[in-house]
Amino acid sequence: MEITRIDIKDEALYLITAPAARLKEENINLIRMLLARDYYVLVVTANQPCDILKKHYEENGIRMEKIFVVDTVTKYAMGQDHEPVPNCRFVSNPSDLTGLGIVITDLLSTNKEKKVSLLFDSVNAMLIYISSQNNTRFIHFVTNKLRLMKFSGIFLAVEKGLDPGLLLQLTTFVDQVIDVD
Amino acid sequence: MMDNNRMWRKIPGLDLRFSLVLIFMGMFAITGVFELSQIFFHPYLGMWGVTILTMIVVSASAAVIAFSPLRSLRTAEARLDTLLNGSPAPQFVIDADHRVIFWNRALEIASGIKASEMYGATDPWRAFYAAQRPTLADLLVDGQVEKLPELFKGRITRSDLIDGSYESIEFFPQVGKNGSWFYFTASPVRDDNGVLLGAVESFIDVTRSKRTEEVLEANKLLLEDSMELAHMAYWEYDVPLGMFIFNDRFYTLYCTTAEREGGYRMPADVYVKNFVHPEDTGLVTERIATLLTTQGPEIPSELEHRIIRRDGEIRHIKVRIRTTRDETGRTIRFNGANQDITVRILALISLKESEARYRNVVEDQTEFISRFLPNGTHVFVNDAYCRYFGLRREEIIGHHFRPRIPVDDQERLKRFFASLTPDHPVDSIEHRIIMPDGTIRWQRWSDRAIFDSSGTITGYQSVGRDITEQRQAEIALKVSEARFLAFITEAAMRLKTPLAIIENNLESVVSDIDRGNMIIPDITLQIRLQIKNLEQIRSNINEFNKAIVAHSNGIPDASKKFLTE
Repeated sequence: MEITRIDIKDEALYLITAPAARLKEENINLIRMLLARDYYVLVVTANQPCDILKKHYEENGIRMEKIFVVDTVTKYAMGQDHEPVPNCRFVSNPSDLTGLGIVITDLLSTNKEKKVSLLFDSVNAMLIYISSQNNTRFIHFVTNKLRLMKFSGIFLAVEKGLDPGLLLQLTTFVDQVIDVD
Repeated sequence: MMDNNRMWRKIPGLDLRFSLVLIFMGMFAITGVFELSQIFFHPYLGMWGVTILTMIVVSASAAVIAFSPLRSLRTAEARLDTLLNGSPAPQFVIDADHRVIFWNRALEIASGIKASEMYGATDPWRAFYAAQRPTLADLLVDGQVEKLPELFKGRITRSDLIDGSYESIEFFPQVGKNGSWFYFTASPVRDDNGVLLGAVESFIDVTRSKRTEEVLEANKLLLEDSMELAHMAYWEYDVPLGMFIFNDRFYTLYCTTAEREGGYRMPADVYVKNFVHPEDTGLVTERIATLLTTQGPEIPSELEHRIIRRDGEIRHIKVRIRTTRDETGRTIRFNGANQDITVRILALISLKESEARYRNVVEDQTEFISRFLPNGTHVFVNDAYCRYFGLRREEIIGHHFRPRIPVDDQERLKRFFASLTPDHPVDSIEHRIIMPDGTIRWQRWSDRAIFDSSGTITGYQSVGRDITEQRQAEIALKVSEARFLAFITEAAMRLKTPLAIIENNLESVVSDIDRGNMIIPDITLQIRLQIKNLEQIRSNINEFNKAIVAHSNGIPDASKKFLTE
């Protein structure tokens, strides 16, 4: 299914699987689709640094006003703090799940009155830094948080990159699994 | 019916009326001569009348005087006739010319030939034989005794009682419906001077006794045959003499002969010494003494002991003894039969040995073996079974012993036993039991249902063993396998896919550089990030290797170092 045809419903959670080579492209497609539907998008990235991400968005004509980024990799890659960037929060590294959880919670709470959708990029990139068990727990935490706060969320994952057992667990956390292959 | 008068008329002087007429006529003639001579010398008036009267009176008187002895003779003849005809033994008499002069009533019945038909005939043989031949009486009349053995198949012998008489027993197919056996004897008849007058031949029907004898002989043969088949021999014991009376069959059973043993009689102590196995002599001697001294009812008794035959072979015999006692209860004789039961005894010994071996096998089994009735009553359990449940055999045998089964397994076990049918009598099942101390153990049972001819279950035979350790090992193996699977899955997820992501990110950087729309700091950041990622993946690989090394044996230290640093 093409991303543009996804009928995103408020307060619904989705797991979208795509080939590794298309993760970046699908990220942009999803942002474009969400913005088109008046969503504020909270991008949690463990894959691309915030600067690179913004550049790609802008190159694709995506305005950043309604996009918040939680960057887990820039500080980790640079080994030092990044100068503050509007609408962007940095976490020390992807394995700092506590820090990441706090930032996400904070941003969601701050934008409680807005129509926000969380975009998690990606489940597989997180597996470089944490175990699948911790990854699952964290995603479970995030999905619970989204449901409680009545936000929607999209979790990107590499197609065929997850163990069926793990995939089954993730399936129980979301409302729908969409394969964009 | 035979006309005896006609027959006897053939002998002159024996007819009463004829004799009296002759006497009367003779005396009348003599008196006439006498009277005529008186008249001739002394004639007188009325002499003819007197003469006639005298002749009549004298003649009549003489006849009357003669009547008495003649009548006696006639009476004697009649008695003889009655005696011979009244004899149940067929008889006939021939004269010196081989003519039949007597053929009694019994012979008429036996031969079916009437006396009147035979009177005067010279072929009495046809009453007994199909073809013409002389009878024994004919041969005696002719004095041809040398032909007797040739003509009579049976053993013909000279009579010890009457000189010149012979006797024999033969079968006469012609006589009677199915032939008859006759004991027959013939005697020559001579007058006072020794002149041969004829011969008398008598027959006694011995068919019934002969048939009985034949039946007895057949029974005897059958008995002999049966005894031979049963390896049996009979014997008697002469109580007054204290001797056994044996026979050829008995000696054959003992592989000896009467000649070798010095006859058929043998003292009891000699028998015991010569034939009874030394370890059994006490038993046999004691039994003989008991039989001789015990008083009471005649009760057959049995005894089994070993013998040593004359050929040296040890055999087992069963002795059946019947004791006969007098009215005072004293033993007067006993007899019995010895049966060689060696084959049966050896088979029994073999069976017992086999059973012992089987029992040893069963008892030595580490598997639990039990047999129980459909109601759960145990009829057999082996030592392993008893040991396992910590019970004594008598606490299980005959009791409705059933180990406690967890509720989850009860229904499955019930279905399992219900599934055993004549077409599917054997199956196996694994289930848990609750031991007396409350621990749960796993068992594997192979159960066989035993059916009768109507297809009804009469019992079960079960062989089982404890598989708890095996089960635990299987579970551990499954856990281990699951862990291993989880481990390699985790490794794949955390290595393979991230590498693909890094690869794509690097390609993206290269693509951006190629397009010239990326500044150096961004490129540096991207490359640093991917380097960090690769470092993390290398770290992950080391962690996985450490886990592998920790759970593997036999990995050299150098390899461990290589894998984990």
